[in-house]
Amino acid sequence: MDAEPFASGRSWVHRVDARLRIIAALVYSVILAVSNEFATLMPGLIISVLLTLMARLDAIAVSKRLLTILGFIALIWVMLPLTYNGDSYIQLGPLAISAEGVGLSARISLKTMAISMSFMALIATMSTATLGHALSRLGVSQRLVILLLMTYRYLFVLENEYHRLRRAARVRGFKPGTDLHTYRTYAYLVGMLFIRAAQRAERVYQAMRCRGFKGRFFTIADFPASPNNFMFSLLMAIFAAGLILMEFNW
Amino acid sequence: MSDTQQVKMMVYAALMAALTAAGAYIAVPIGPVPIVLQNMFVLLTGLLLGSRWGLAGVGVYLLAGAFGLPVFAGGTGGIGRFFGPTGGYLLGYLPAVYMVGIVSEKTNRNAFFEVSAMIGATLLVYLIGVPWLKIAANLSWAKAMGLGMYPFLLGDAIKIAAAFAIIKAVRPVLGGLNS
Repeated sequence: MDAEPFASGRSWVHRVDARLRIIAALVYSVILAVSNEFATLMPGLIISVLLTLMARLDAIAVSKRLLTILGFIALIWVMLPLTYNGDSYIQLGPLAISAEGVGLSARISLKTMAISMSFMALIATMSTATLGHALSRLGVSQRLVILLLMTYRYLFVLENEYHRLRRAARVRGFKPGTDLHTYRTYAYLVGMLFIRAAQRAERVYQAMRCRGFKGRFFTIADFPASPNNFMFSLLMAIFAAGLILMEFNW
Repeated sequence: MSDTQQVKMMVYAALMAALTAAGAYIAVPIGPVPIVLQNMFVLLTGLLLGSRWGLAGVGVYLLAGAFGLPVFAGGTGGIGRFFGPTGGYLLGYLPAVYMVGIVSEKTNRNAFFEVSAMIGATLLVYLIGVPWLKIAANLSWAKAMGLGMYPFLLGDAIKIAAAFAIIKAVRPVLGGLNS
């Protein structure tokens, strides 16, 4: 799992104050989430694509993430047009496809893609450590921030542990099926994962006590003011205002 | 709760959040729909950490997912998941973990009440997730329940049984948590 494929970069988006990017991403995604008009969602998607271009994100990495998201969207496209209770239908052989269902699927797809891409451009372009410290400066509870940073750290440790256990099972010739042996193997795997996690938690706890942890992580990172920040804020304010105006057909 | 105990709970809450994320990657082939284990770890978080720290653990898991870390089922993340048709299930984890935690605390870890709380918490996730799915996808109640609830009930029963077995085995080892 590479959770930070976009964090290191030299684009101007990367240089914008992390706090501004968090606020902009949240405001922008809420506007898109509550919008319903295609006249808002289409430009929203275009703005998100522009943001990813401005952040100079690796196109292959962006495509890979979008493909995973598209997997979920594909299910919606299979399900909604056939099950939506609408007024107008398009007959496609034996299937009656709801026109409203198609419209709703398109809306959900546009929203999801636009919000995901904006998050890639604005949030994924900072490291999780920076995200944590920026959240802390925005007034989010210090305890919650520490939890987030620690969770991020353990995510990789546990993922490695899980893959190690799976590899070991594979080496022993294990192939998952729908039988008792498979369930027992998974039960052992989960049990081991849990025990190793608990042992690690105990070690981390002892280490934190030894170091006199007082409930605060310190950082030398700062968020200096720069013309970039002003430009970014102005641009995002224009985008947000434009989308709101389009939603209300002004 | 002393400072030392708070640090301990914080470490365990972070690890439970990470385990919940790992659970989203483990797909067990049971019946027509493979089950992922993230909601089993949500239940375990409540049983192990109690209501307050359980809520913190699950809250931070959702926060990590909202900020784009690939912690949800299928290795996905991002705030878009909360606005999609399955967003209700994710939000349902918060009252669910609180419910399991508070019942566990108030009944002095009574096995019968804990199992009942896990059943109630699982239904609570559906109580939020199914109407959310119904509204987001404009489905009838029957279709929403057919797509978003019935296929998963067998897996949920197995997960509750597994969570109960795990907590019985793990509690004596972990001792002082949630006490």
